[in-house]
Amino acid sequence: MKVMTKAFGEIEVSEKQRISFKEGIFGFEDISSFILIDAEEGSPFYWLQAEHMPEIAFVMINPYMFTEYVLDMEPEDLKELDISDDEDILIFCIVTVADDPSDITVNLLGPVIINRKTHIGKQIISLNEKYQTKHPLFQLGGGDNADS
Amino acid sequence: MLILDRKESQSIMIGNNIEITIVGIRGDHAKIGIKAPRDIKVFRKEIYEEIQKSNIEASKTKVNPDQLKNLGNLIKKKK
Repeated sequence: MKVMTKAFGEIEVSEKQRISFKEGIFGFEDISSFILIDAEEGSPFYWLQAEHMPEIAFVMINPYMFTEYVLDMEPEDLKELDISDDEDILIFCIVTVADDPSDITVNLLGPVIINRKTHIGKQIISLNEKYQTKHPLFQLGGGDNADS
Repeated sequence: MLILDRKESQSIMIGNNIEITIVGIRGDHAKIGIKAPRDIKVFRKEIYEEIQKSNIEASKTKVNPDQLKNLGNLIKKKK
């Protein structure tokens, strides 16, 4: 199927890339269908593209690429995502990109969780209170971690 | 909005199974206890608003694929 994207214009994607977000994501509660796109092969980045709104797309990162992320979520969220096996969980964090790499931040408080088997997604609120919405991306790596 | 006057240690029931208690009041701070079933999620409103704000900001930034590619390489190098 073809999807119009913010990053790449119109591209061909597979049905498997379509993720259903029943409640949308925070601030975008009406958008229930997103397409998960790899930024490019081998990249730690992904795009979460609103299926029917080309201008709405988010850069996401696999948090384990740069920090020791601890996912602490409500059992209810696991139920809503229909997760029975940990292997089915994909975890992403939304990145706010800026021109200066030191200004780029990652939202560790509100990770996007996707069940790779059922293609259901949800942005949850981490129960881990040390996480915030604006952790600098490049402080998280290089020895420091999210505890500081 | 329904507004009720409550004193310290007094409660409010919402439905049959949600109880909100004013545990303590110190100056302009109210300490609130919430008893609710497990499937009712309770969060401070600021947390919702913060994530909403962060998402909106993230959706507005312009990103070109080259920039992401460079950043990806930077991260991989650090790893």
